[in-house]
Amino acid sequence: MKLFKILFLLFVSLFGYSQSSFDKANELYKQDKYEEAIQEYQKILDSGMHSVEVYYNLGNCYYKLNQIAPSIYNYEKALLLEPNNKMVKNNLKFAQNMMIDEIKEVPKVGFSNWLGQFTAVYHYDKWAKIAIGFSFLVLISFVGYYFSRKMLVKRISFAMLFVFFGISVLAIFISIFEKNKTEDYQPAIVFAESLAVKAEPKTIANNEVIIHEGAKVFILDKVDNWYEVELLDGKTGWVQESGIKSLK
Amino acid sequence: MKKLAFILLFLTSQLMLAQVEFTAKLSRNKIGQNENVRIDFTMNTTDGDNLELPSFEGFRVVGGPYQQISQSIVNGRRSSSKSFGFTLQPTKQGVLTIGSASITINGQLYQTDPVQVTVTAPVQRPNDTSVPLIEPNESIHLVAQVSKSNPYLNEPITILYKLYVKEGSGFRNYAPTETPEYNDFWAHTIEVQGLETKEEIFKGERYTSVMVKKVVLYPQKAGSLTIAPLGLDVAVEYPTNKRDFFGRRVYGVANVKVSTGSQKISVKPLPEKGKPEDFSGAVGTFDFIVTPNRTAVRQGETIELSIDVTGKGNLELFSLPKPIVPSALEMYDPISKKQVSVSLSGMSGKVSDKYTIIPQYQGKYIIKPMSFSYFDLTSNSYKTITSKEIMIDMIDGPTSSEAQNTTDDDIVLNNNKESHSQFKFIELKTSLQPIKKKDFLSSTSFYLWYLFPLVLIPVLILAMRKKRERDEDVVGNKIRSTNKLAKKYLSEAKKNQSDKQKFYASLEKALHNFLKAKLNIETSEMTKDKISEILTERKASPESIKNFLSLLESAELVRYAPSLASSVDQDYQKAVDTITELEKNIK
Repeated sequence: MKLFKILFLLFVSLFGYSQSSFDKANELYKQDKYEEAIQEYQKILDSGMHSVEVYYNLGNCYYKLNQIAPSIYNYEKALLLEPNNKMVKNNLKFAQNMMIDEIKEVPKVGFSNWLGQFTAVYHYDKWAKIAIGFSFLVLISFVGYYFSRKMLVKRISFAMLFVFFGISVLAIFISIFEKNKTEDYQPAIVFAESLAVKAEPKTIANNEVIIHEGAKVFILDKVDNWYEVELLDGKTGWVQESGIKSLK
Repeated sequence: MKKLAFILLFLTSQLMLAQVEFTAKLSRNKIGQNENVRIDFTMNTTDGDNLELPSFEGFRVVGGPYQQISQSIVNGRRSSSKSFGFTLQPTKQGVLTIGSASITINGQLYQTDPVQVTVTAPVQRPNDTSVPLIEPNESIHLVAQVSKSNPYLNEPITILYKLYVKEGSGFRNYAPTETPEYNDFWAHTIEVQGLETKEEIFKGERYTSVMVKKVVLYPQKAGSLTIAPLGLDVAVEYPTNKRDFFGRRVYGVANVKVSTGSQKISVKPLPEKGKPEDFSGAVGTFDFIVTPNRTAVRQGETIELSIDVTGKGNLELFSLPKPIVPSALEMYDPISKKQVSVSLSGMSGKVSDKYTIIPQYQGKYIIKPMSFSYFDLTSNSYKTITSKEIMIDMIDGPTSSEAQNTTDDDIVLNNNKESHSQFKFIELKTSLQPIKKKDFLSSTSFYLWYLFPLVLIPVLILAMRKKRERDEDVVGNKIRSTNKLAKKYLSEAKKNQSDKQKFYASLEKALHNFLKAKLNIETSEMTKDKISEILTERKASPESIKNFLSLLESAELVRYAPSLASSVDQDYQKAVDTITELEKNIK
């Protein structure tokens, strides 16, 4: 019992500590003490906790300090948690204004893109829970089928049994698909002031293009200390590891 | 009247009994190329008109025309003559012909005979009547003074072209024969104002130098470069030993060609070591300034960014660095301005680029620091000047997110919208979650939850089946009902459990009742063997028969020997079981 009490207190204090760090950081932000606010927010992250608001506030702090890359980095981390957060998207645009590069996003088309958009509606854990829900519906249909006396009820239940089962299996596949997609999705932000994207992972290789801090790229592969990345407009190339910071 | 005068003149001249002659006479027939010859066209009258001279091809007229009129009386006879003389200098060697001269005397045209002059190679001592005191060839030199013969690439050098004239000589004019083009150089000629002369000692003798041309050159290529010579044809005035009528020294004029010869310049390339990446070729000493005309703008205003380089060096020969601005700022091509003047020390002044920048969206923009590198000639090293970062703040205006979402309808509808969206404030509330979250998808609880209902289905099926089995288990049912039945028969016995006698009496009765009901045989009067036989016949199990009989025995025993020990409970249960068994087995 005593152990439980201690653990509970520890958890609460940890939680409470993180909470108070958040409030303290907010206060510092209000006083325009942005570097100190950043330190406080960072304490929360170091303690193993995070939230959309922590990243959003961090993004704001860095924007006020005119540090493009960390600002964009934190806004993007916030969007990883809540992709449709309006405040984050609004302020991200301000930070992106300071970027040297133009954001030229080539819209992805095709079936796989449509599919991906559909599966992304829910987190893969939620799809898993949906699968479970339908699994229970399967049980209920079965009960209806097995125990009902009325022919109509029996028929409908029998049909629904298979429908629900099919949906639940589909939900599992979607969940797995979405999880794989999430794991393959490796965005990163350019932190170097200017970064050469080369045709091969060698310093002497030709430059395909030069990107600047704040740009978003997607990591495809890694060789030695080079990353193969894909840019927003679809171009691919190799960059030095030290020039970018992964969002995951 | 005129005609009368004419006739009179004619007669007079005829009376003269003089032959009109018009002749050409050379002072010499053979001369060296560096000597002069005198030709006189003489007529033995003083009245002549329309003198026409030959072309003197192959000669240059260096003196004349000298007119001489003489009259003399010889032997009572009066004669007069008039001559036109020229001093000629041959321009080439060979046999040169001087053509006829013509003149009209008394209405008649007279021509001289052509004469020939043989011109040989230049002679040591021109047997001119005058002897030059200073050889014209030696009295004049053209020198190119190069300020530096091994400059760096783009380091300015000057060439001063000076004509050195020995003291005592002079020159009348000069014309260029060769003009260098200064390939591989950026060249600028500096006008020579007036006459720049200086007394100098040249080759140990006193000379006067005259500035002919001043050129500033910036070498554009490294390596060994050759500057073509400058050549002049100078009309030199040299003193001769002759004196004129007044006693003044007579000067001869000779054309002398002078040349500087080619100049070799060894241009050093700029060192590779230490060359900054952004070096664009600037050599000299410079200042680099980047200034915006404003840093805070409202919608509709523009910013002018001036990039200036001032100083001395090859200002016209390098390009200015371009600013790197965020793509959200619209920047237009710059207006370039050059205010450069060239002097003997090179180019100096200012070159600038002015960029017009128009921010489109509200917010902050950073123009990164710009750097300008040049090669400093005073220290022979590269120097870089970096400007400061410039922050542009657009105070109001649309945000880029709005701009992407507006359509024409929106613009119409939202005309009375107050302000565009701003940079939002921080969030004050939060609910923290742990960063490392285990996936639910592959967790054990997921599997459990998912499979639970599915597993429940067969479980249900099994349960139902078991129920049905039970329902359809007639035998089992029978047993149960028989158990009930037995219990019914034995209810009486049960009631009498306290009374041994009564119990066993009713027990016995129950047993026989059972058989009666079951076999339709009255067995109360039968012997045990008989009962056993019947039961065996009816497929009862030996054990149950044994039990049945033992119960009957017990009942009898109690009836006939009440004091014997017996167990009511045991027997009751035994009876129940036996009846059940029998019920089950008996067909």
